[in-house]
Amino acid sequence: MSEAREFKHIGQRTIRPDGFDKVTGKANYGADLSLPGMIWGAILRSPHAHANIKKLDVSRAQASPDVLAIATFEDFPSVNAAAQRNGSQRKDLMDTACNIFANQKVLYHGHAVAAIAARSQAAAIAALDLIDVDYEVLTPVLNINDAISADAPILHETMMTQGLAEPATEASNVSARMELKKGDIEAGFAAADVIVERAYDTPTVHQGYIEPHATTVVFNDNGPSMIWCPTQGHFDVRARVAQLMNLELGQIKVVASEIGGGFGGKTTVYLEPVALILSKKSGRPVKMEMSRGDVFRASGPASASQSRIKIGAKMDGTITAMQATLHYEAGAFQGSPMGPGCMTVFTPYDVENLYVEGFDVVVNKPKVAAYRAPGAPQSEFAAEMAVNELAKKIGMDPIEFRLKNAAKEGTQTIYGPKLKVVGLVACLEAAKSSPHYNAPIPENVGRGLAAGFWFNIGGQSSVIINLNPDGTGTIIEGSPDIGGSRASMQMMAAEILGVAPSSLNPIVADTEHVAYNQTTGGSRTTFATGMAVVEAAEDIVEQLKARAAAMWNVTAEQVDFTDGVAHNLSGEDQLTLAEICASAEKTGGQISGRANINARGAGPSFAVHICDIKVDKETGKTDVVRYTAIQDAGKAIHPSYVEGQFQGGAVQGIGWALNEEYVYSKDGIMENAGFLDYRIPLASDLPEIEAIIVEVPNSFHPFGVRGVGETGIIPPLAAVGTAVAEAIGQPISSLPCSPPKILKLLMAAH
Amino acid sequence: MKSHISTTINGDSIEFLCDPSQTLLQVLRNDLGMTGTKEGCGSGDCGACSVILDGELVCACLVLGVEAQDAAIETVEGVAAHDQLHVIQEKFLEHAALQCGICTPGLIVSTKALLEENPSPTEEEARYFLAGNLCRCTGYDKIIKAVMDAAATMRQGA
Amino acid sequence: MALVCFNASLEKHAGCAHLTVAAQNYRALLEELTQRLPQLTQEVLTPLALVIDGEIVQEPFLADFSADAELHFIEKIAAG
Repeated sequence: MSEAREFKHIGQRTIRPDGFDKVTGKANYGADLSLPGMIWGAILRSPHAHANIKKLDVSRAQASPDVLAIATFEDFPSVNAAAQRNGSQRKDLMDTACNIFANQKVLYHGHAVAAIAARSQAAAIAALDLIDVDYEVLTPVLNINDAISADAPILHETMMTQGLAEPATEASNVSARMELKKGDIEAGFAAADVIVERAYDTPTVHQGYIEPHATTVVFNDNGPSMIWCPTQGHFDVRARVAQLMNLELGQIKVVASEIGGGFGGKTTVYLEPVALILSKKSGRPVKMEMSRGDVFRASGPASASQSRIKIGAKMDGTITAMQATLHYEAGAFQGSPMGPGCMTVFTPYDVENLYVEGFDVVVNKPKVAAYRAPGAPQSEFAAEMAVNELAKKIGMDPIEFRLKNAAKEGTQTIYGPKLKVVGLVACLEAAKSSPHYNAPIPENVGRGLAAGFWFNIGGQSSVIINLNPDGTGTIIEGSPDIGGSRASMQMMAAEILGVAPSSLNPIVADTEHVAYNQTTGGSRTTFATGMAVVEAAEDIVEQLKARAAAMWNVTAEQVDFTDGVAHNLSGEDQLTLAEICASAEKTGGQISGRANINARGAGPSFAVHICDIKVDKETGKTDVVRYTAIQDAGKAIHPSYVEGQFQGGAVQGIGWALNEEYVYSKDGIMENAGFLDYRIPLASDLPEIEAIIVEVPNSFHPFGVRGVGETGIIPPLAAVGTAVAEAIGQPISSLPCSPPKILKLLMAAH
Repeated sequence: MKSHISTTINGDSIEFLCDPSQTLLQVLRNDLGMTGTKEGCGSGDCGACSVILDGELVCACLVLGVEAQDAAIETVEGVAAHDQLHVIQEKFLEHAALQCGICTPGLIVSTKALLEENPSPTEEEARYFLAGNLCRCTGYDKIIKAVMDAAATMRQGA
Repeated sequence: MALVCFNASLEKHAGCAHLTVAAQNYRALLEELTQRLPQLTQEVLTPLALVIDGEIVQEPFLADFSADAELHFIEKIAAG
């Protein structure tokens, strides 16, 4: 398949086609669009983490000449009716609506209550004072233990835990329980010589994209309304807005601006429906921007978690049993990634006996959104820490311990299927022979290693390739480009068509100019949209052959097309792609290829990371002194951007493990809602991040591609956690390993 | 009452009206239509709005619009000469030192300021100088490689 | 006859851990399962992805499988 193929363009490090605009400031992001007559919207947010709204009075605002429109939950046309119906989709829609605007109850500090449009941003913000809200303040629930305690304040009176052995009889803050098992867990532990059992916790963290949410919209009665926004999925924005506003899909056009980071956090809607309501009521284009503080307080961070892990092994290193109880915070509404967390926790291991129980818990914090392999960093952090502790206890090297129990082709996962060909062993072997792992550990430095697994997805992608009479062309796709994917699309099409990549211009079209494309996420883009690009290019090749055949008066079977040239197999003639295009008018019209697919066969990506950390014993400060990220990409279409995904994921994971956390007051107010005190890694915090690409091809993709975007954030949490534990000579069970916490551990030991 | 400000931006004489409370960032983006300079936080913590004001690297969100009076301001839009990219910009592209690109304008301007002040930075000096420019996508590895390569190329007089 | 394996959560609805089925495509499978196991409803099954011999098929509507396939139902994976 793709194992021994030589590629002309695949695997090269081309200059990305959108690069010129990005380095010159010309590229247009979410906040960069202004329109004639445009006004500004601003949102009034709850000052309380948990409260009933007794009164919401907009009369003073309505009377003000500065206020051009007002919006509240009452302005969602279809949602109230929809709320009467059953079904999980309606519940999900209702939760989304109640998150965008509070419906009689505020559930987190910063929860939107109402919005105002005025002639300037400053005027809109000032006019928020004209809205009067009376709150009945309730006690907030701010962590899992409080949420599940017997006398916990209940966030949703109708929430009954799904998935219990006996049906729930009273309201709870636990929305769901999940159970997965394989083999016989009791027998597994009975057969173990050594057992490690430990509780772990991870904090609420944010994806930390540098671009805040923003949007410019125009409501239109006489044609499609227009929404301009930075999003990972503009078709899903269209779908959500259509549901909330009771509009047909064809009545909304969503234009995906360039996006300044998403990582899963820009896969839903916050401002867009609000801006659209304000635009409808004012008859003007409306622009809205979230402040950085609002991004932290009121977009969708990642779940905090509490995990209990128990692992048993024989002295020879065979793991006999693995067990986990995982609690995830969903924030104000149900829907943490507890499911994927349960499914991935032990998947790097081929073990007979497994038992996992998971719980989805609501708390008075913002509703969580996806963050790079959602659910997996939390659960696999705990599992990998315990695996490392167990390896140490039986005196086995952490790589050897993992090799002995590694998941491979045929391994039965806990969630059901057997794995197909995967690259974990290849990554472990690469780690074993890496310069980093073979370098002696410097003095005062601790070393940690961890593995990671994520499924990756395929899904729907639609692509059109139009060729011009001179043989140049346009690739029209619909996957917002969050990391350089347009370069890969260019290369894949060029490889099939046999032309220079720079002759094909890839564009990410809006919802009117290309058919539905699933959200950019799930590590799907190079895999699924790439597959569609290849199919569209192959569609063109068939047409080129038919055109050449017509020009030579032979049948299409007598035409071969290789490296951009058609050959007449029953003669000497040949025609380049450009020549065939130049004659297209004569042979039937212009040439376009298309593919509308629902891609199957996404291959999982495994990773192994190695981390060296130095701890200052007087201050608790940690320094990452060396880092290596090894991951299976299947086939790296553009190696620089594959390495970029490894490095970016690693550094987000480093931040999650060392410094990042939401700090809350006892009243549920986030105290560090800014980049000064929500401390993400800086250039000065880090060494080089060595990226090693392993390629175990995925036979379902024409070039062997596996998605790589997400897995890379999983191993760093335990690689860092273990490195810190080694450096201070004490177990680590709680993230982040921030200086005050490390110092406390160091002082307690004395 | 708005102030009438006369300034120079990327070599062009520019005049604008602004409220005393408006920041230079707001003026650039909302009143002058120069959206190359980005807002990431509005409080000087992320560096996405980096510009050079009278030779000094500043966050435009921490400068008032009125402070632009008689100043010489350089933004990302002025770094390239027509369609000829600056070496720094070329190296960023060559090294794939951007993924989403939102931090890139700020980093290009900051790197320009760094290399004007110190044409031969060590990697550590580069990392510390650029510590005020947050990037969430790249992990900084390729950014620093691009900066060091740009520095070396510029020292050769390219 | 294809073999359907139920995870612990689905086992509660199904009443069993495994079931051999005559169906050879997804729609026939749903009909057969909901008929033979009344507690396993369309509402429970249709939001799930189908795994066919290890391959996760997120949208299985048109999927078919061989007579000796091994089938699992799992939650659809969300994107991040």
